[in-house]
This record gives sequence, C-alpha cells and structure tokens, in this order.
Amino acid sequence: MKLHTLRLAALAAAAAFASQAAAQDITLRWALHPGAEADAVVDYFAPKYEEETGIKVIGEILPAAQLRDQMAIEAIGDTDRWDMGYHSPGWFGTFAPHVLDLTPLIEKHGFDVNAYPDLVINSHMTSSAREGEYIALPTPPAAPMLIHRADWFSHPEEQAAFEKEFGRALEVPKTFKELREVAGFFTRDAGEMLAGQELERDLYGWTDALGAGVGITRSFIVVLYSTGVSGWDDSFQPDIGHPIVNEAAEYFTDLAKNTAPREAQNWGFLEGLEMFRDGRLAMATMWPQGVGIVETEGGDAAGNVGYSTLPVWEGNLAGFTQGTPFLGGGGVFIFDTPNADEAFKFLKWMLQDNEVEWGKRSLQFSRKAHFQSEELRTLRPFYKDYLPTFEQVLQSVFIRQGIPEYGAVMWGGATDYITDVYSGDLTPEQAQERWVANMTEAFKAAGYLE
Amino acid sequence: MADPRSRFTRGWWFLAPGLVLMTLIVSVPLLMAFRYSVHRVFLYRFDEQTFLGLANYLRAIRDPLYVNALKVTTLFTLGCLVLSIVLGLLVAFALSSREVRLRPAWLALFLIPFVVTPVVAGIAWRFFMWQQEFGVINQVLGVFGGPDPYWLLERETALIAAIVSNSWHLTPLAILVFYAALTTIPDELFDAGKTDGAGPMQSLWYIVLPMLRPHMLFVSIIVITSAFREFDMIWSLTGGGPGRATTVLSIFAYDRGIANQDMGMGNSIAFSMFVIMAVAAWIYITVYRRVLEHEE
Amino acid sequence: MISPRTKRRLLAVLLHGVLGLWLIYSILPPLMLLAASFNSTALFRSPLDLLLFREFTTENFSQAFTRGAFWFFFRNSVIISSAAVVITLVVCVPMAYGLSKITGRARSAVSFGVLAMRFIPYVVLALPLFLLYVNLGLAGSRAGLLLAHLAIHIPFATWMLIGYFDSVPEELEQAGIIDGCTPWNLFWDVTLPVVRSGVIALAILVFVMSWNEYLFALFLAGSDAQPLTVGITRFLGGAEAGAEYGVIAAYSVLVISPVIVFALAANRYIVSGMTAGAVKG
Repeated sequence: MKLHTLRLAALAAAAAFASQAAAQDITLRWALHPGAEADAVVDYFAPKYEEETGIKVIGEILPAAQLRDQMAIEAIGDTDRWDMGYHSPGWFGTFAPHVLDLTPLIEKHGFDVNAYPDLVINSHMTSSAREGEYIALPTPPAAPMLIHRADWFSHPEEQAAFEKEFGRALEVPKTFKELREVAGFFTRDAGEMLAGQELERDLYGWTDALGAGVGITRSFIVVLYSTGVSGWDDSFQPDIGHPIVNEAAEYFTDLAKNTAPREAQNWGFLEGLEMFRDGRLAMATMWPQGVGIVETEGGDAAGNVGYSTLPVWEGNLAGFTQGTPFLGGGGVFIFDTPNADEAFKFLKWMLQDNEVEWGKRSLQFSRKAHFQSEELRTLRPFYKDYLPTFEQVLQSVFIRQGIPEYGAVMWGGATDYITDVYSGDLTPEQAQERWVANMTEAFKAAGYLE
Repeated sequence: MADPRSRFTRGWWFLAPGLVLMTLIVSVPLLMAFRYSVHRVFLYRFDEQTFLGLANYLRAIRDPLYVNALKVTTLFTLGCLVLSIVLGLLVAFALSSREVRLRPAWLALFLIPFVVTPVVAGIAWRFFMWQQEFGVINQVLGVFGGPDPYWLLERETALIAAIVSNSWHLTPLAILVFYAALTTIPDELFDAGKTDGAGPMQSLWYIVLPMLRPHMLFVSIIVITSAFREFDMIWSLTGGGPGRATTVLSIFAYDRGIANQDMGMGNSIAFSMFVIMAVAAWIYITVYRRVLEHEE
Repeated sequence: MISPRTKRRLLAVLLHGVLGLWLIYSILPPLMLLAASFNSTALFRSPLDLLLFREFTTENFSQAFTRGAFWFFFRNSVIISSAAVVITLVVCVPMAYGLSKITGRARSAVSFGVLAMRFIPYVVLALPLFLLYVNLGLAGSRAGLLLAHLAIHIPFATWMLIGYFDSVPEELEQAGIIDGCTPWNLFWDVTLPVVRSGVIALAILVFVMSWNEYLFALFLAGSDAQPLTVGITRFLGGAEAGAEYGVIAAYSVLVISPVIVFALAANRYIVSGMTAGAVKG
C-alpha cells in the first residue's frame, strides 16, 4: 500500500506538469458500458470537445459482459490504459484502490454536486469503501420498472376472460402474486386468440433477461431486494438466510420458467425488449436504457406501452409499498493516471456545462435539471407517461454497499444461488446454506466478523 | 576433453538453451499457481495474501459445484473420446478403401473442422446448428418428424450438444491418424485373411483393429487432453449453461478466479486439473511404452 | 447372383455416399456462417433461405470492419501469431535437434518432461500469469500474451520435431564430421535441410494454434493487445445481439478464412505434422 501512495504522489506531480504541457498532446481514454450514453460520448461529445479544446477523447465501448473483467485487468495491472472508467456501485470494490478522490477536483473546478438528487449522490458518488470522498460522477443512474401492453390490458374480451378466470378485474399487477397470475394469463400458444385476433406466434406473459450469469442475477436480485432483504445488517450478520429469500427464489423460478420465453436464457440485458416491441410479450421488466427499444416507431408496441413501478412483495421485511430494485446504472470514475485533471475538466464540461444536451443525447435523466427541463420532458411523446413513473421508481430503491466484497458475496453469491435453484442443481435450502456460509467466511476473512 | 563434435556433447549444446527457457516459461506459472492455491488471494485486495494451507482445496472438494464441474468435465471428455474414435475409425475405413477416388482431396476437406477457430465454431453451432427454430439440426429432424428441442437451453441436451460440437472439431485428427495407419497396412494382410476364409468384418476385427491399437491410444490421449481442458468452444456455445450443465473445470476456474475474484480458489481448481492430468500423463506414458514393446 | 464387379461398384457408391455425408457435416457450420454473412438478417431465417442468398447484402461485412474494428484486432492477431512462429522455430528447432542427438537416460528424462508439459491444462497457466504479470508489469500486454502462447508452443513443437530429426540417419552427420564440419555446420547445412518439411509443418501448425487461441487472450490481454478471437465476442451478448448474428457471421468468416486457406493450401504439411509422433513414445 505504501508503494501505492508514493505512486499516487508521483502521479500528482506528473499531472501538474502534464497540465502545463501542450494540450494537443493529451488523449483521454474512457471505458464505456454500451448504451445511448456511450453513443452520445463517442458520436457527439468527444468530437465536439476536441474541436473546442484540441484534447482528444477516445470512448471505448466494451461489451457489458466483459467490461468489469477488462477494467479489472487494466486497473489491477496499473497499465494506465484508461483515464476514465465505468462506475457501477456494485463493482466499486474491485477498483477502489485505483481510483482518484474527486473531492479536490470538484472544489477546484467548481463542479456542483447538489445538481444531483441525494439518492444519486449516496449511491453513485460516494462509497463506503472510500469514506468521506467523492469517487465518481453519475452518468445514467437507473432502476427498472414494469411495462405492459396497455391496449391488450384494456381490451374488453381480455378483461372479460380474466374476470371469469380470476374473479377480479384485469389490471396492472400491484403485487408479485398478481404479476404471476397476469403473466400466466397472457402466456399463450400460437393459434390461440389475443384481443380478438388469432396469434401467429407464441405469446409470453412476462420477461426479463435471464441469461447465465449477469442476466439472471440482475433479474432475480431485483425481486430479492423487494423482499426487504439487504444482504447483511449493520454488524455484518448475513440476512440472506431468511426464509423469504427461498420464497423469492421459488417464486422467481416459477415465473421465469412458466411465463417467459425460453430464449430469455440467452439474454444479457435488453434483448427481450425487442420481443416486447414486436408484440410477443404482454409485460416485461424494463431498465430505462430500453425505453427507446419498446417505443421504436413502427414497432407493434409503440404508443401502447404502459409504465408502472415494480409490484410490491407482500409481507416484505422492510415495509416497502412498491417493488424496490437496486439503484443500478452507472457513473464515471477517474483512474490515477497523469491525465486525471484533464479528464475531470472534460467530464465537468460534458455533464455540467452541457447538462441539458447530455440529458437529451444520453436519453437518461440523472440531474435535477433534467427532470425540471421542459424541453427534455416533452422531447419524446411517451415521456409524459414514462417520466412520472421513473421518478416514482426512484422513490424506493436499494443503495448497494460499497465494500470490496460486494461483488463476490452479494452479486456473485446471488448468481450462484439463483443459478442453482433455477436449474434444480441444489434445493433452495442447500443453495442458501452455501451462500450464507460463503458470505460469513468472506466477512471473517475481511475482519468484519470475529 | 570430450570432442565438441561427439554426438552427445553436440546434442546438449543445442538442447540446453531451449530446455532452460521452456522449463522457466512453464514451471514458473505452475509453481505460482500452486502458491496462489494455498493462499487467500482476492482480486480486489490482492496485496493482502494470507497462507491457508490446503483450505482452498478442502473447500473445493466439499463444494457441490466443484463436484458438478468434475462430473461434467468427465462426461464431456468421455463423450468426445467415444464419438471421435468411433466416427474417426468409420470415416478412415471408408476413406482408405481402394474403391475411393481422389483420397487426398477428401482428406484435405475433412481437415477443415480441425483448423476452424474453436470460438468461431462455437458461434456457428450455436446460431446455425442448434438454434431451436431455424437451426440445421432441428430442421433436418423436422423432415423426419422428429422432436425440436431447445438444444442449448435444456440441461440434458446442452451437454450432448457441447460434446457433438467439440467432437466435430476433434474427429479430423482421428480420421487423419487412422487413415495414415491404414494406408501402411499391406494389402497382402487382407488377402491373406480372405484366403483363410475370413469375411471383411472378421478381418477388420481380428487383423486391422489390433494393428491400430497404438494409434488408438495416441488419438485417445490427444482427445482426452484437449477435451479435458476445453474452454473456448463451450464458452461461446453455452457459456457453461444452462445452469451449470456445461460448466467444465476450465470454465469453473475462470468463474471463481476472475468473475468471482477469488484467485486462491480459481488457482486451486486449476491446479487440481493439473494434478489429474499429471496422473493421466503418467498412466499414458507407462501404458504406451508397454504397448509399443508388445508390438515389437 | 450379383457379379463381383457390380458388387464392387455398389461398394464404391456406398463409400462415396458415406464420405459425401461426412463432408457435408464437416463443412456445414462454416458454410452456414458464410451464407449468413451475405444475407440481411434482421430475423432468424431458415438454413435454405440463407444458403440461397435470398436477401443478398454485403452490409454485414462493412459493419464488421467499421463497428467491429476488424483491422485493429487483425493487427494484434497477426503480430502475436507471427512472433509466436518465429520464436518457437528459433527455440525449438535447435532444441529438438539436440534432443535427438543425446541418448540414454537423459534423453528419456527430457523427452518425458517435454511430453508431460503437453498435458498441462491451459487454465493452470493463465490464472497465475494474470497475477504474475501484474507484478512484472506485463499485465494486459502483447508480450505477456505471447509468453503464454510460447508456454504451449515450445513443448508441442519440440515433441513434434523430435520425430523428424530422429528419422535422419546418423551416418549423414558422420560423413559431415569426416569432411570437417563444425557442430553448427552439421546442424544447419547437413541435417536441417533434410527436415525442412517438418519445420514448415510446424510453422503452419503453430501459426494456426496462435491464431485460434482464445483462453489466454480472454484472461490476459488488455484492450490494446486483444486478438480477433476476443474481438468477435464483442458482438456476442450485448444489447442488440439477437439481430446482429449476420454481422457476427461476417466477422466469423473473416476470422476463419486465413486458417481454412492454410489448411487447404498447406494440406500436405499439416497432415505430416499432425501424424508426427503417432507411432513413437
């Protein structure tokens, strides 16, 4: 660690010199997560910044599944490959020793932290791995919502059929139990009827990306946090041993196996929304990055997408009144390279000086000004339904812990757990026991537990 | 003083530099793998390494996921072995017949699967062969009114699909070795068999197969080592899924070491693979020498 | 009663039928890639549609070149593979020659060692190298990736070449010694020309192995050093993967074309190289 501090000091000195060197020699490199915000950087902001300042910005878009491992190779290897990296609160533990404290830069360049909602500051700018520091700037914080086909839900034949079967009106599900029933109701084979028309292909009630590893984990952990579980309590005692975890896993397995398309097991993130766009899905869990897909002009779903918060888990441990996903999406941190100061100046220029343009191009809402901007709120016709829902989603989200072990014990642990329950390799009890044991062991190794 | 041109001295001069380099380049990572495997090494804190003794190994053996990976690896390896030997023999027999024209041309084309990049082969099989609705396999099965399973998404069929895809890649080697061996068997042997009244099947079974024994052993060991450590093909075909149905030890080691950032565990899984292969190598070399002696 | 001649004809037809089926099976996966790469593929289509190029386009290739940054990864692949070939030859040709000269227990010990190294699972090298390179400052570099390749190539190449050198009669060199050759002359001018085809076979096989390698690249290559095998996986998964399999196919075709051309053009060498060692210990 000592060596590391020395290195930082040397870098700071180097940075001081570097910033006086000719500006056109500087190239900033940024590892990006695929999505509209990455395209905005590469296609618009980077060229514009170079035009204005002569400083070249290279945004490298890495595949979602490789991004963390690739950044880890470079960060742990101290290669100075990238000056800026994609920040996900759940990954931060891996990068914590290699990332710059932004606090001095924030003061020096007058970056307004209060432009972000408190929630976003807590989740995406600070971390318990580096107390008292700002370690990243938010780009697109995100949390998922439930989307449904409003035209099918309001179709009289569907309403009558649903009422006949379940004895209540067909409505957007308020609880996870209702979600399962409605999803089952809409899961139909080709040749059956839907909203008065014969189906050419199979129809599915609900989906999310359920691909091995990151897909199924993200999907399940959203349900898991909705049960009020948080992984561990203040004294690092795991709470994932609670029976409600197994209930959630069995529920999730049943929902995914019986109402989602089989192909969902190949999907990593947004792929299923293409099926929603094409009119083959009645409902889906949607991250905001996907809203452009489901509302694609000319698509079967365009104009008929209904937005709502995730349903509530009845009897959840935290007293939530709506589904409570983790606050995901990301931000940008700055590696300890000689270009750190220039990198921050660029980010401030993009995120603060051009905040409305950033919101417009990235199709994401992260700053208070974004939500307040009349221009942004009316940019797309569907924003009038989508935005209020997104704001409501942000009312109840789980802020992930920044400990270095998060990736292994919570994310990796959830991957093992749901993979084994879903596949039937282990019973929920066995998988849960394993998870609790691994978490306990990791916390003991880290010295959090005796 | 020994003559520098004496065969032996000459030999060492040429051998030594390469030998030193090879030993270094291979044994350093191997020793480090063992070192990491007896330590607690997390990627996110890898300056803090604590000695654990054999704890990682004990954890692995008790972990149902490790046992599962071992089982999947064994099934995968055996499946590839049986398929590539049987198919290799069959095709080599057909090809070595005197009735076949342009034999070198056939052989050249049969080699293609062997050189196709395994990652790409995995992609080709995944999207165009096993795909449920439009994949070649289900389309062909459909003609005969067969079932149309989701090959790569069902636990039972995914492993079969992985074995078939990987054997596709390995069988050319078997064809080549068997074919080369069969062309060296003098025709008189067949003719001798015929005059003794043996049918073609009998001469195959009693004359040809025993002669191919060392070649079968050779092919077996190449297929076993290759299938046992296979990563690329399975990675792009199924990514180890569904569930853990195709998670072989190589993938499991990656999963623990890099994805889960537990390098101590990852290295102990990898090192256990090395130990298994070392035993296999020892058995092979012993048996192989014995077979060769037997032949002579 | 069928005449022997008809019987032989029938047999010939049957055999060609079997071989034809096997040929189709062998080339179908790469053929499907080729077909899909030249079709516009917004949705999955049936194999027949693809093979008949019903929706012909070259758009997939331009996508692979631009968005897929093909030439960037291609450059890394070429550099790593060529360097691997050169270094492997420089190291292994003399080494195998030397090994074929020594005798007795030393010979069996060394050849046992070389053979044993061929059994090492790649992952047991890749994982420790990841950490080791961090300490050595080689993390993510092309040189580090190359070193890992050499750890596989050197035992393989030496083992393969011994067979070629062993087949050169010792009398040849004895004659050379009488003519006053130095040890170097004996190696370079007398023996090496005899095993030329073995060296060519080796160069080709090592190139193909390096070109096709994926595991080391995934574990060790930083994004400046990544070869084509990693470049192509950038299209797998990710948001639009479902609709992009035409681009993936085009990329695949570009990746495998060089090795397939090799396999067909240098067929003779590959055959001899792959069967070398089949009948010795």
